[in-house]
Amino acid sequence: MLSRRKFIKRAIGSTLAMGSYATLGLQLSAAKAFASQTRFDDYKAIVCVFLYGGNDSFNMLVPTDEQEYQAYQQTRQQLAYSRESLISLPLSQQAELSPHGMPASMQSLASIFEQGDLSVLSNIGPLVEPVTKQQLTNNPDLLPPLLFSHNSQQSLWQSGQMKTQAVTGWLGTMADLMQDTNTTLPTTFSISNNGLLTSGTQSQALVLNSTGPEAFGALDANNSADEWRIAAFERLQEQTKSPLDREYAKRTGLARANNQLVQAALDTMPQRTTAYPSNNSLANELKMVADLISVQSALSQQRQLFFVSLGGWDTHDAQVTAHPQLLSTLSEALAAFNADINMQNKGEEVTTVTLSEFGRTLTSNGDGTDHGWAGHQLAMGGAVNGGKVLGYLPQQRIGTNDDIGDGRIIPSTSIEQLGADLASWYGLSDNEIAAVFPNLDRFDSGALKLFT
Amino acid sequence: MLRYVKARFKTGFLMLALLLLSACGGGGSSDTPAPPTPPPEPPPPPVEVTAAHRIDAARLLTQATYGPLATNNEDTAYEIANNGHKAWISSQINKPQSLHYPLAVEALSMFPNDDNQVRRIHRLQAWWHASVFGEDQLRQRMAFALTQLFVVSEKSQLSNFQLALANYYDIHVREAFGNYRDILEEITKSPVMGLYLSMLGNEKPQPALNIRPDENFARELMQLFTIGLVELNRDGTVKLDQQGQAIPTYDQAIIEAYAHVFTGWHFNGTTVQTWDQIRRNLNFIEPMTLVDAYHDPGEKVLLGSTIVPPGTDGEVALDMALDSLFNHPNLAPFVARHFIQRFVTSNPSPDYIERVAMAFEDNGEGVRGDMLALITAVLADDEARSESAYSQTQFGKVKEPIIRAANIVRALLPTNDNTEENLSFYEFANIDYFTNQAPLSSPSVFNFYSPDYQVNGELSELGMVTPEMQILTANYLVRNHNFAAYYLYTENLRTRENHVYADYFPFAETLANDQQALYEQFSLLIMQGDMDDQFAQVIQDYDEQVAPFVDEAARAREMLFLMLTSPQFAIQR
Repeated sequence: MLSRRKFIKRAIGSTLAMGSYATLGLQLSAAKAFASQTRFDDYKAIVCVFLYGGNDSFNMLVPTDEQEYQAYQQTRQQLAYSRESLISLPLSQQAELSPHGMPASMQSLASIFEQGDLSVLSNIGPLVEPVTKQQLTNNPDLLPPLLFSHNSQQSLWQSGQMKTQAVTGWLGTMADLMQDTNTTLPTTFSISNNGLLTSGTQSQALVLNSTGPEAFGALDANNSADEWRIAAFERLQEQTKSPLDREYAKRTGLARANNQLVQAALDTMPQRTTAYPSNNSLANELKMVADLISVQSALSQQRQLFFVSLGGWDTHDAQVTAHPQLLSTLSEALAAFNADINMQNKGEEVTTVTLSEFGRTLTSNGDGTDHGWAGHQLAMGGAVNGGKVLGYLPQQRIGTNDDIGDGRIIPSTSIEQLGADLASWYGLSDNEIAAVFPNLDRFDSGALKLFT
Repeated sequence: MLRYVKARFKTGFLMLALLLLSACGGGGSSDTPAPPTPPPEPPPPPVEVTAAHRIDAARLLTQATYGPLATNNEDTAYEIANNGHKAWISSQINKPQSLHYPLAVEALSMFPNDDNQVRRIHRLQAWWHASVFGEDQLRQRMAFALTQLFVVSEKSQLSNFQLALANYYDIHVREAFGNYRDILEEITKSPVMGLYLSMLGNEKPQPALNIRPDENFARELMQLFTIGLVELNRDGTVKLDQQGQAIPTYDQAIIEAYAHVFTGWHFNGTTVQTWDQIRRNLNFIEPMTLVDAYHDPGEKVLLGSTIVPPGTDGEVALDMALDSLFNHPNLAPFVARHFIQRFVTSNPSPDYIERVAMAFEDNGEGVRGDMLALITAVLADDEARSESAYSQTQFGKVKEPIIRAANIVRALLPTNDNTEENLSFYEFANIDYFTNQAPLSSPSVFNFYSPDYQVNGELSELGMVTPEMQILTANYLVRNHNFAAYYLYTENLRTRENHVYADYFPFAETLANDQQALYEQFSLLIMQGDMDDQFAQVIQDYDEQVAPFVDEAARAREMLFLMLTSPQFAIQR
């Protein structure tokens, strides 16, 4: 009785140790808790990097041929990069393309492009169906709903459908189709904040901070002094009066269980040496992704899906200084992640893509750009059909057949085509892919060739 | 203000006049002695405060303030019982205004830095001080709700201008019960908004250089601050065309027209000669100035058949543009839903939205946009108040995480000294570590969460939206919980002189004297008057377990921990 009393006193009187995670009793059962995913023998992961705000992605790939450069310069005026500052890309595999370069701020990604582990996915955006400017002029119903609005277009990009108020995203639906029902732990992880993309009908991503899972304070399952408090806390989780209470309690229960499972796996993490850039929130998030990839076998996960993001791309003003900084942040984070994954010998097994709600106008508003439609994305990884510009590359001129006004460019590849290539590589069957992207049959699903 | 006032027959006044006439009429004969003046009616005895009044007060204080205090339930219940909810709301208007700018400057004097600049740590302390100690609680909550509509964020170039942000917040503190049209104009001309949505320095087109006006402010003003993307019925439901499709409120051409209106504005005092000398003109306090030479003088076709003729003065054009949005039929349901969601429930009935929209359209005196009429309609509505409404499945909301944190602080506010005005919130300046939310600190102009955010499962099957769930992700569920743990169990918060700390010792006294009274107090103070027997039983069982080993203070703290980390505390009903 005396020792019991001591325990209680210590528990109740002690100050809280925030964030420190003792070895968990639950750890021992971790191996059993994870029924193996029997569908696949190999390992694969997709990492989606969402660039919130709308990346001026046409300025990531600039023509360097004299005539084309002049047209670009004429169009983009003071927002054009100087020709000398661009890093030439080797495009010898694609004789049909004129020479192009990347801004100096993308140096590290240009190197990965050269190594053949990065491609530019050209001129992608939401489409009702493949469409020409003429058809759009004649039939405005062929325009996706609420173009140029941030949240509406994020919804189109992340749902993979023409839904501006979607509740499920294509990564989440993919996870639904592969979810192991023997464990509470999802195969989808979101670092820092949640996105629609990872929301499934059944599965929800586990959202972690860049620093990893954290413990619920004063409820340490490994501390027997917390035992009575934990029991009372859990009884109150069952005291619910409305669907809102129930949802809150459900989320709390899942977070407690899943955070412990992930922490137990991370405790077995082998040491790695790749240096990530400092003061780079995206790098911090990707480092956490690499941590989770490094313990995929401890987690018994043969498939993993990740969502990370970087904001600030809505460059209506000060674009000349802001955009190169953003590209540099993006490039350094992706390059460090690529090196880390290669060090883990998982280069072929992890594919990373950028997504962003729209490209931006080729014309300027004086010191920035406004909301556009199509844009380029990047794909990185050993399995990617690398060192190429995939898809149709429009000219950076206004008033062309690609331009529906002020340099808002009509997409030539749909989100579905990008998503379907990823889903197919990930291992979904054609039927499953059609379930994830119901409008895929309107497009040539083999045209992009994201993977070799 | 005159522009909102429609001529309106004052029926109430006329009726009173007729009554007086009839009372004096009849021309009594001089023979008849005047009847003795009846003694003045004694004032009715005060209505006795019942348990139901106390519960109503607990709910009103949870909805309309940063949380009940240990001391204010009985007064509020008395006010409700005797004068009604509207009287309580009216009583809030004249409370002294807690402005954030001077509080931030004061925080700087307490926590100075080398260059004598107000930083985030000072602005956040000012916010805490006003939100926790301000007597003008409803005004402060209105201001916070307004800043979630007219969003600017320090997560931008504004991070270096924290005093300017405090001043921007004060626009909403001052105008909390003013008129929407005035607020709209003030935020449009605010250099803080100007910088955030790049209207500041926006120039007329230069076609030779492919330069056209910046569309940023024009677009978000329409989508997020006034009318939204699609046409609405007055009850907030989406209007459909004959094909059953939603009808967009505007197209790209309209955006461009408004973008042209919002050209030519720059820091106060800027002239055509100094337009490009931004550093010299820096002024984040006074409204922006119009510089004619940079304003586009062309014709603009706006919404609601408003046409700005060529050559119209830029100030007049701006007025016309704001009027066209202020008078748009979407505005009332759009604003009504925002305030209902911030104060009462995430999923109001269409009828509730319509009643609030009507109060916004006409405050009873012909004035459109009266924010006092709006918030009165929100809080006094039957759907916000009646037990039958609030026991409906879909009623209520997830508390905003930072408001939940403020609830905790106010419930446990130190009461044993009179120096509260000096208590510092230094430790709370980085509250968003716990809450994923801080004033003027959203990730983008789209606020902390979408008003339409849905989670899959039981809630989406019921068609319910849950905006605040968007920031209550697994990682932040942990940290929200940990704020309660941190505040209750961190001993050194209490030992730092003049810092706010969790004062649970008065509850220990009650516990020693009258355990039943403590449960009643907890129910009103923390559980919105709604702690039922099963819930209380869990607390009591645990208390009986630990009681043999610890003192009353520690027992009270344990009970508080359980309540403050329970699902029922996280949800407002």
